[in-house]
Amino acid sequence: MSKTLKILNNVQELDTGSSCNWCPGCGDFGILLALKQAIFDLKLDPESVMLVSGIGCGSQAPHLIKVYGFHSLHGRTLPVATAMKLANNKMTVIAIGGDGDGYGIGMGHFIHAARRNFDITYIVQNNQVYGLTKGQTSPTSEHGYKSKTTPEGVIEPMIRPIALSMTAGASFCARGFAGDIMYLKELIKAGIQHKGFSHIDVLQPCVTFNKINTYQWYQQRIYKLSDVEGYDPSSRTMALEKAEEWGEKIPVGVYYKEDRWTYEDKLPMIAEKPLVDHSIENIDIGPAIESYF
Amino acid sequence: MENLAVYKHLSWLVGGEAGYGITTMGQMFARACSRAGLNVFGYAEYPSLIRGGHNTAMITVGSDKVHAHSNKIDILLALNEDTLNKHLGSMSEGGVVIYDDESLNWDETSNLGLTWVSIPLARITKELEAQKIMRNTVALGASFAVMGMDFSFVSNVLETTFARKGQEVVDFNVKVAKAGYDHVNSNDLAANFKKAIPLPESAKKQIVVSGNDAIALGAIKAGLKFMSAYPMTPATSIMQTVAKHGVKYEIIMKHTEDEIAAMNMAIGASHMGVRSMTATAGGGFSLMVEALGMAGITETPLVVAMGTRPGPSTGLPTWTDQGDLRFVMHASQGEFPRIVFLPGDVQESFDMTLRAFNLSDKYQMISIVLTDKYLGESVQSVEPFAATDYVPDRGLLMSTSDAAAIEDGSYKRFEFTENGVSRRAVPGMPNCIYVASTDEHREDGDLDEGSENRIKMVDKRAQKIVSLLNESLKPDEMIEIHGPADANLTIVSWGSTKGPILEALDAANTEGLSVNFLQIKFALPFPSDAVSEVLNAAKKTLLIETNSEAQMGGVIREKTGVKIENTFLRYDGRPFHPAQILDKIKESL
Repeated sequence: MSKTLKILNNVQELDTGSSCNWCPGCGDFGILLALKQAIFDLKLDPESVMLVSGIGCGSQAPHLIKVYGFHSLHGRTLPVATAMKLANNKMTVIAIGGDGDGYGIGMGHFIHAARRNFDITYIVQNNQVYGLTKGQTSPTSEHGYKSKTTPEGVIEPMIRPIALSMTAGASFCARGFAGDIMYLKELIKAGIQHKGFSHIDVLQPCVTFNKINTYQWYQQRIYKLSDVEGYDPSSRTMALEKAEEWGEKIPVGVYYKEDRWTYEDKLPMIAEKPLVDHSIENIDIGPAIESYF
Repeated sequence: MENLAVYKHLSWLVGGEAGYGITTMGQMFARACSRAGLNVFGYAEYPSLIRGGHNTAMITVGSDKVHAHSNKIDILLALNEDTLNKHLGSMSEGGVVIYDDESLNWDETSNLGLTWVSIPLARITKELEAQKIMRNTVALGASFAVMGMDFSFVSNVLETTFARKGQEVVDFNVKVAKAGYDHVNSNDLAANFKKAIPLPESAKKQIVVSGNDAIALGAIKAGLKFMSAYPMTPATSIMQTVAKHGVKYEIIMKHTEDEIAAMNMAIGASHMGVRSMTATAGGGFSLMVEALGMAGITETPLVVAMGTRPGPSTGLPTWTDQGDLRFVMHASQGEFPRIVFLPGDVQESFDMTLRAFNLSDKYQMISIVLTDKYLGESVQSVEPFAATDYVPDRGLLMSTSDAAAIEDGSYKRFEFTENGVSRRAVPGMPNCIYVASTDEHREDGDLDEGSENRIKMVDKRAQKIVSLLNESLKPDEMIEIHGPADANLTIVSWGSTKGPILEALDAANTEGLSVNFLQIKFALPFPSDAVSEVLNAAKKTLLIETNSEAQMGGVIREKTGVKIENTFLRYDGRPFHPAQILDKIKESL
């Protein structure tokens, strides 16, 4: 599939004009803005970008950015997105979904996508609560968090997304904050440019249902790993230590980065051209039936 | 050998513990017979275990087409006592039992009017310094001697099987097999065996292939580029066969973390424009159901091979059943069209898979190829697949240049059209940016919960199956009448029961009974008019299915208003055999 490259003149060309149903002040706006700006800054041809979401408030994103979009099922963002990459590895594939989508119902897919190290970027809109179903606990809700489904408080500890993706085998693990759009944009750009599975967990206030983890709450705690003297994102030990850090201080930035083979690198079928460009006319099954005589 | 009676079919059965290489041995025997010009049907039974438990492979051979296994054994190759205990009762008159009396604790050989061929399989194997498992090779040679067939057919198969391991391995295998062959002949052990199958003057080249492999080969021929699946009996060999040919045919076969991922990945890849499939059994299909609806509402073409086994839940994992007909017809919330193919044999498994890819693309719709353990894992000899005249029909899938000619911003992926099918651009094409959504959407893909749009979209999707029926499917493709057009009894059935029914039909009509068989080849869209016409003209009807609820009977009644009173159902996990159907035919007339 060869086509003329399209270059955007300004970021507004990525607007679809579709109406958005997010609450005023929602962290999703910051993430959307950072993502659009990252696509523009990297001069990506919008026709070569595939944005895949699951189900949740933030999963409306593909309707709001003028790139190719697929609005899939709750928790199934990654299987859909990773297969899309395998079918057409020339596309820039970006998966986006919430914490319930990726860390709850989709957890199995998350771990396996990370270990396969597909060259895609996975942005998690992590607001530590279920918004679309109106305020239930999520896998990243803090221990003791009270919600409609946990009126006495969450019993289990919250999961540590960065530690999970990293130990599973993702080669780029980062965390951003929806309240710092410029910094988040840089993280997304780095994630898209990284060759491998780039997991970007984005801390994001839910102004309607999460009254604890607010913009102010985060702003008091967040610090940048790039400001930490001697921090080396190629060190697994340092990265794992930071991945466990939550509470008084919460680090953002690139936790871990590694250069390793992607799943696609090992597939001779797509070494020359994407699967979608293969001809399927006149296939000779002679060699395949040889062993049945 | 001139004194041997000419016999229509001959059944050979090998039995032993799991881990004894029973399946491989069955395949070798079947292929050797096929090379001799015989037609074969191979059916294997095994429990859900890696080792231990009782395994059998039955190969039924004949000069003409063999459609099914038999309930009678002519040559029993017993690798353990259990095989003798379980199968002596099924021996046909004058049959032969091949066994190793030095290894087996068995001395009642005078009974049943059988010929007992004792051959020291273990000792011969040991004397030749061969691995223990190679006693199967000795037995293979012995079997051919008992049948009075030339040894060259055995050596021929061994040569091709072991060619890639080098001449030394080939020669050794041939030597081991020859030892078994010679032992029988030099001791004249099978002199009393009176059944022989006439061999054709010249053997036509046939392949011996399972229903599952036929699906995999059909998919490869159709241009499959991506498959994602998770192993589950009895569908596993489909993904394995595709994987085996992955590099050669440039197909990505992904073994996923579960069937949920398998289905979602298959849809994701197909959405990007490559031919894509998944394969599973009922349990895995249960996990895929969620995404089935996604393919429905996003109008993504996809082929699903579904091989059933008895449920519910884990059920009888390695046995056969047709209990999932209604399940695949109705699975998923919401209403959307789908195609359900019902292949009845290996050839139809291949042909229908080819057809499924074209119809799925043309109507941007899911196709389900419904088989079962009996069809999927049994082997049959057929003419080598070629399908050289096959042309992949991608329907309204645009080319990059088609897309480039479209005015940027005007493309509507889900455009309302007369036949319900819209032009399809895939991501990466110029000028056609759109979102496909699992939420209800407008023509351009954006969300819309409005009443007017919803009605139009539901109607659009539903129109596709009407168009499929009007434009692409002919009644003679959807049903087939086997036997005389006018008969006193019409058997109605579908899927893998075709084989045993055809065998019974042949026997019945040879005996002068008047029976025909209506084979239903599509569950969706259902060939209502054609089925109605046949049933209304039929004198007597008999419905045969491998399930307990007569599911096809229910479908027929729903779609045609005809209730078939006379049913013959089997639901113990075992396939029908021709003799029991013949008995039922006689009882019904």
